[in-house]
Amino acid sequence: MTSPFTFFSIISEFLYEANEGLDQATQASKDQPVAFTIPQIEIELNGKVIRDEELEMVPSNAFESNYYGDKGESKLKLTFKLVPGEQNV
Amino acid sequence: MSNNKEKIEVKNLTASSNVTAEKAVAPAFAAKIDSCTLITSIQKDLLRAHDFAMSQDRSTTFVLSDFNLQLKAVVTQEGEKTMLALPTKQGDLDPNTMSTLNLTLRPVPLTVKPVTGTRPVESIEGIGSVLGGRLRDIGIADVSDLALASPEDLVKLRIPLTKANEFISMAKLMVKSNIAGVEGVDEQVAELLVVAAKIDSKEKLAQTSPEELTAILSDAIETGKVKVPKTFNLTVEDSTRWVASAKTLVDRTRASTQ
Repeated sequence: MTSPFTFFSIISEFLYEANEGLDQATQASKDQPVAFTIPQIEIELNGKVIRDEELEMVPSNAFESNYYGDKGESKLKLTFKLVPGEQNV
Repeated sequence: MSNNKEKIEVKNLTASSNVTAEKAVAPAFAAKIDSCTLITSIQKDLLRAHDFAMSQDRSTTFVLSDFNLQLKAVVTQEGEKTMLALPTKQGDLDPNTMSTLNLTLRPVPLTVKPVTGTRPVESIEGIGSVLGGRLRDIGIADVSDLALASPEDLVKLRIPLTKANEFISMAKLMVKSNIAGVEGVDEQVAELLVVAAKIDSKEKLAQTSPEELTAILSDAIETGKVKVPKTFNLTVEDSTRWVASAKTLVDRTRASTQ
């Protein structure tokens, strides 16, 4: 819960998972008359931004008291959008 | 801004490869960072994430479109410079001293400027004179050559595969945009003209014989040089229409520049 992560690692992790989900959903609806897709995913994370050699974020730990409370937490909002890309074909 | 009455203890984190959870929850320290470093650090991570997303082998993929960060930090002064002290888990920092910084980073697509005539490879973002020279050494002199190149050719020049794909896609886009506007020429036909007949401009198309063009394109389709949907049907009438439209557009351009 308290492991720090870089922005790149959290973004790539979510991208990977979202794309895996997309693949599985496409496969599952292959023989169906209609297919539902998710055009957008939004994520909001509460935590603390720290810096060592890179910028890192420590997600809020629900099991520990937060000294700063709401006033001291940073919010990371990520929006992922589905785009067809020529370079990915 | 900083207030001397407040007892703000600001310590730099030591540069160490052992970034651990213990460090993150250690009491009473904060790292100092200036706004410029903060933004460039985030931008660097986002560019890496963009490369990661583009390297996914899918026809559609998720990309990060908006990045919003609301950062709680104490604004302090270090010499002439205004610094942001990032608070960590616990410490003596008073929550009331913390400022809120809202950052939104959004990807902006690069615009492709239409250029007439032969365009050197340097007209593609990211290709400078050094890389341009190396590409010319292997026979890739202009954008049209690059559009027909394979990623492997570029990888041999120590260009990362992701970057190679990006350059080729950009070149294809630029070539297609030069044929755009010709009646009946959609993306599929544009690719067919570029790959099979090496026609990458309205001028070249206008000077082509419709019969010859049909023969070249039909051959490319039959031999599998260019893959087209099964429903794609090519006739001499199509070629005649494209060539006639290209001629009209070229004449119109000439008339407007005279």
